Amino acid sequence: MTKPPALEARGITKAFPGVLANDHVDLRLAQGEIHALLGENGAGKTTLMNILYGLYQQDEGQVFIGGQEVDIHSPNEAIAHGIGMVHQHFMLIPVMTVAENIMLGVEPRTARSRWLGFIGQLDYRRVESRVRELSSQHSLEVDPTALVQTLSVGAQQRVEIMKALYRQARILILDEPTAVLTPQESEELFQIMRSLAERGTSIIFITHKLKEVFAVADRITVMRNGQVVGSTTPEQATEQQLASMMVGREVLLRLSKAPAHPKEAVLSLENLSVNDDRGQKAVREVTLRVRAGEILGIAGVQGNGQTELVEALTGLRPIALGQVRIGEKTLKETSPRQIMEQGVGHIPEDRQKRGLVLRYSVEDNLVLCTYYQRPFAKGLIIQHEAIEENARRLIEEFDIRTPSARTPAGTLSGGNQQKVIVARELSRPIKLLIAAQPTRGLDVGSIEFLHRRLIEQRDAGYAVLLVSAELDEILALSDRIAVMYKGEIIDTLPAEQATREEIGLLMAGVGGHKTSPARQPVEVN
Amino acid sequence: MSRSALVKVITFLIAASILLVACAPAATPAPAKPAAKAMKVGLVTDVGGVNDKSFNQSAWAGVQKAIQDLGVDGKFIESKQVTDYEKNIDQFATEGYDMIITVGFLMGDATAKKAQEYPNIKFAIIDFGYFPAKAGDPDPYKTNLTNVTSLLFSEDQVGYLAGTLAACMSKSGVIGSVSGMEIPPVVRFVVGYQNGAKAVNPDIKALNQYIPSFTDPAKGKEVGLSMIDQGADVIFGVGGNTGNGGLLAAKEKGKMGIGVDVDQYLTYPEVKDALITSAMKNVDVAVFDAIKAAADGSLEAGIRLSNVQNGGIGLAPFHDWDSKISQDCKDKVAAAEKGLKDGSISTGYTP
Amino acid sequence: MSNHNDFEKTSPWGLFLQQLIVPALAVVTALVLGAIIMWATGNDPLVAYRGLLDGAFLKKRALSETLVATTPYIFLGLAVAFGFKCGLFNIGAEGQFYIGQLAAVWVGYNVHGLPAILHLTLALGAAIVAGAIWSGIPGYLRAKLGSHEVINTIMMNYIAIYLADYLVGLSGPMRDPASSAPQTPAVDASAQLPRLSELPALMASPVTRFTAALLVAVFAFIVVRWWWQQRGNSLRGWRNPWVVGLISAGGLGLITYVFLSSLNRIGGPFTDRADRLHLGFFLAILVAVLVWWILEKTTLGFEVRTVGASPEAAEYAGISIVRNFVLAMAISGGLAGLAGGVEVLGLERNVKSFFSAGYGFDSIAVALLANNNPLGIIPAGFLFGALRNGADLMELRAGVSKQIILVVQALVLMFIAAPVIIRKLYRIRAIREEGVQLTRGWG
Repeated sequence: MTKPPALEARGITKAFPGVLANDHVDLRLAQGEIHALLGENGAGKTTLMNILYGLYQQDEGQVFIGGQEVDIHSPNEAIAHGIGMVHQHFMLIPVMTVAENIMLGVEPRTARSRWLGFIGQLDYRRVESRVRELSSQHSLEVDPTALVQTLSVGAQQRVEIMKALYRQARILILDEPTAVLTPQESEELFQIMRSLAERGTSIIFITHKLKEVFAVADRITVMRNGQVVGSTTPEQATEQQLASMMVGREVLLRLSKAPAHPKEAVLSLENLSVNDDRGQKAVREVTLRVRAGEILGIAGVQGNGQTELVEALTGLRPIALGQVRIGEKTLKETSPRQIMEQGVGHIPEDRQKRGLVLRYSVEDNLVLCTYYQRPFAKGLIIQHEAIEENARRLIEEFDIRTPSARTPAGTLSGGNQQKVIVARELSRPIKLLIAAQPTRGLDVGSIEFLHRRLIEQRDAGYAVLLVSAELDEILALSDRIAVMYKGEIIDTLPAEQATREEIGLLMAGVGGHKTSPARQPVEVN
Repeated sequence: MSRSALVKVITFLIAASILLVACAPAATPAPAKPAAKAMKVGLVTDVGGVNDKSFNQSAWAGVQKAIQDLGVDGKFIESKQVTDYEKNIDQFATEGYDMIITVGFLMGDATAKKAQEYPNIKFAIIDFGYFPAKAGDPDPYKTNLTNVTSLLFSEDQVGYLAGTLAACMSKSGVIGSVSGMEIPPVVRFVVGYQNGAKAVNPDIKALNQYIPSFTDPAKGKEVGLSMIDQGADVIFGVGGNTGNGGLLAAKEKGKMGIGVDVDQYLTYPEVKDALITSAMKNVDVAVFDAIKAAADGSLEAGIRLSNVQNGGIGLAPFHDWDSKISQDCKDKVAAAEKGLKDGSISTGYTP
Repeated sequence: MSNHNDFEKTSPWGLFLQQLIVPALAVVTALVLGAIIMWATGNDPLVAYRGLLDGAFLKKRALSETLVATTPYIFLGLAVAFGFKCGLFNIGAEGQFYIGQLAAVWVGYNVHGLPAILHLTLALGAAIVAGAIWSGIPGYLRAKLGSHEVINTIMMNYIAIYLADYLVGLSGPMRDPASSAPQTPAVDASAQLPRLSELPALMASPVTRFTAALLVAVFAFIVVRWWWQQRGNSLRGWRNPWVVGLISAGGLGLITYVFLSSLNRIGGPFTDRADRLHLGFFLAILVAVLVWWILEKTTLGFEVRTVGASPEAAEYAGISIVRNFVLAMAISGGLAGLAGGVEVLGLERNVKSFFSAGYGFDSIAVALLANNNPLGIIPAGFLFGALRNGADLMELRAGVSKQIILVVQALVLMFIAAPVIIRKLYRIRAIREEGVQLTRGWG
């Protein structure tokens, strides 16, 4: 190679008390390359990036930029070396405009006021014109005068990227950038990344989603347990191989499942309408049935009323109009607890806020919905032995990786947190399981576990309502697929007839029974 | 944190506390017994504290004078709340003080209790009389308090003088008094003030409001302002800091004010522009005299009354207002003073 | 991940010590800094601290007076902490304290002819109910209308303070017409919470002694039997919880009887008529244990803590936020009201106009210092009681303004609020704990 690599890390080692987060890691980022860094949660990707960005100092090893060895002690130094980082959680000030956010820390002053010294007047026009220039150069659509809080998540991410470019970053680190994006927004991001790479920016792209790697990366480095386990290119690798490298064992990406044998309807919705927080109709006249022994998948881009639908079904949000029946009982102003006691399990969308009390121990979280029932309480008095025994059993049965039952749930990895929730819900006597975005943000191993578990529940005769924005998940698990768009179920189809393309179009609002009456869903109970 | 670090820290804590306990007594100067043993005098103030610009401050001034002139050793404790009185007296008693002075009517019960407990310590209390005022009055303390001297004041007399001046100076025919808690010394001030005013101008409207606190200047100011709204042009502030609020209201509205207890022209210069005089109780003099008597062994249990006759009370100098007060008014005040002295005038206060 | 390992290795006892280490070092550091300030202002810190030590513990009655001051701190600290556990900030403890005093005194001088134990219970019960109503109102407003409890409890403070001024002062309906000072009549003897020095007279008759011993025995039986059952011991032989309960009850009853019979021989606070230590202190300890038990061992406590830790998760788990907000505020206010009742029935036995003590506001600091742990409130309250009580003698001896004690208190709190300072200073590593979020902002 004639040109030196844009960035090279050699033998980076970083130990935290009790754990070797990076163990002699090598990474080579060529000029204008999109380099995917793949690995499960806790594999050491973020530690490595924090070292490159100056947030941590490595214990051993060297970093080279353009062939020169550098010591990076702070993010400011990293920026000076041309490294920009876009964090998973944006560092933007919502009440400021895009231009103000971009110039924060490097505010230019107008020429006229410069002689006044430090009390110069800010030169908005210069920032705005520079942003427009970068915008057209890299096809990054950003309006410099817009308030950040009015922007969509995807646009905010573009502002973050713009911030880095404005500071003349030649190396861009994107930390799990797609975790917060819709599929469409992800696709747009990939285009931006490609366009940046073509103009010579080198990009490190951290992810644990295999599909994305194939969509955008030029090169792939896989990490596991703090070590680099391999480096390859999309052309040479298969999804299966990469998954095995990440997890360290064979992983089933596609589960095989037997055909469903649905029985009586467990959940029936008749013309259900639900309002969102602002009183707008978020769910419009939905009619649905979920039968025992089947998985009904609700597909749809986030924000099309799925959240409100699930909240209404679980008593967290009032029903505006229509009827919900669970078994033979009709819900009306029913509290979440009454619904739970009807035999409904709920894996909530926001597992950290709703699903768990992060400060509570694993064992307390495992009885979060049943603490008041025997054997966990006799009268008012909590029975700790029963709670401990319950935790011992469920930790074993659901393979929850936790140092002890007393460990706060907040310290577990995302996958194990989700296992705690699933264990809790499935250990109650339920006949209907509502799972909302059950695998969001989880790694491959945990996803596999959860999917297997959901199918087992179906086979055991439970009714399962699966709500997911991941099209692959819907396709892999559902027996029937309902597509939600702008609060309506625009079509319901049997899984074996559904194709990726068709569902994708429906999710975008194209087609469906509203436009073609010939495809009215026929439901047979 | 590791075990060893924990052990280290605990060891340090123990060592530090041992050190503290072990060193401290050695470093404390032994309760010195100087050649001529100075009398130790302790002052327990009421919740107003020694900087109340009035009553408690004046008592402390008396102790300070005794420290200078008589060479006694004097300290004070400020009471934070009414339930602290007994405890604070105890502090002095158990530190070997010879005389304890308590300030204020509210400390009556506590002082009596402690006087019985410490019969060898001399007590003096300001504004509370244990001893039957007239023959035949019930004596709740069985008069076996042989070690307590009550320092009382004829507040009604000085109040009467203030009222005389106020009525004479008032143009609107409405005067007011912003008062503290409704306890006898305050009531005496107010009754004397109103009767003195009526003696000058029988049609005068004398407003008064008691505020159940001596430390609430905000409330005092509010009451003062409302009186001014009702036409009052002289405000008598009777009640520590609460009364001070009333004076502040007078000053801000350009009205006249009359201070209380001490010459507030000196202690509360913020309102001096408005202050035509102050109804002084010479608490400092009374306290000093009591300490002096105790020092030479002549202090007796019973009541020491300060009144017009013995000069223990009186109006303060007019200061800046001297030229603005008409001779007529000055004469009226002098006449009233003379009348009170020879008994030809009564203040109209009955206990 | 390292933390996980720590968790496994640390014994419960070690964990307990670790939780104690930061507060303890915070106190020591604050005292050292206080000494430096005194030294810098030309005073002798050793004389001052010796005064503090004597005034708080060593002098005659000093320890008793410290415990007298500790008592309201414990009750009020528990009140504030209970609110915090539910994510509520009860700044109204001061007002609830007032209302508790008024209610207890009212029952104390208006109800006559009841046996002491009933009258006292009734008066304290009134204090609890009054405090609970006083705080329940802001609790209800918060739960139903979302109006912030911080503002409403502050407003309720003003209402309480001026209401007390009205009731007791001037020609208020509770003022004792026989007294020239603005104060209520004294409560009947049967409503007085006994001081230790009053016990020998109260316990002169063997019948009363026996009744008291019997009460202790019944209480001991209930507690010991429950505890023994919790431990899951076998139900056979002498380890049967009933048997163990009966044995402990008999033993403790006997000890109580003998103890009460020999009060005069023990002397000390039992015979010193000026000693003000009253049974309220011991009640405070019991109540602290009870509050701990409620929070940790009952479903009620679990619900309150869950709402405090994560309202969203609580809602998901079917726990009613409205119910728990109202309940937690009411219990918090009930504790503060009880503080008032105990204070007034044990010390002054009447309410005087202008009786503010500022205990209610200090107790927010007590709760913070204890990290809202009901058992931690006992030492935290003791520390504040000792500082408050010892400050006077410190001032007297060393001529140091007792405001320095406020500086020390403030420093302690600062170190507690920013434990990083202490950890850096003494190189202690952080442990993860089930801390409690204070409030979640306005609205």
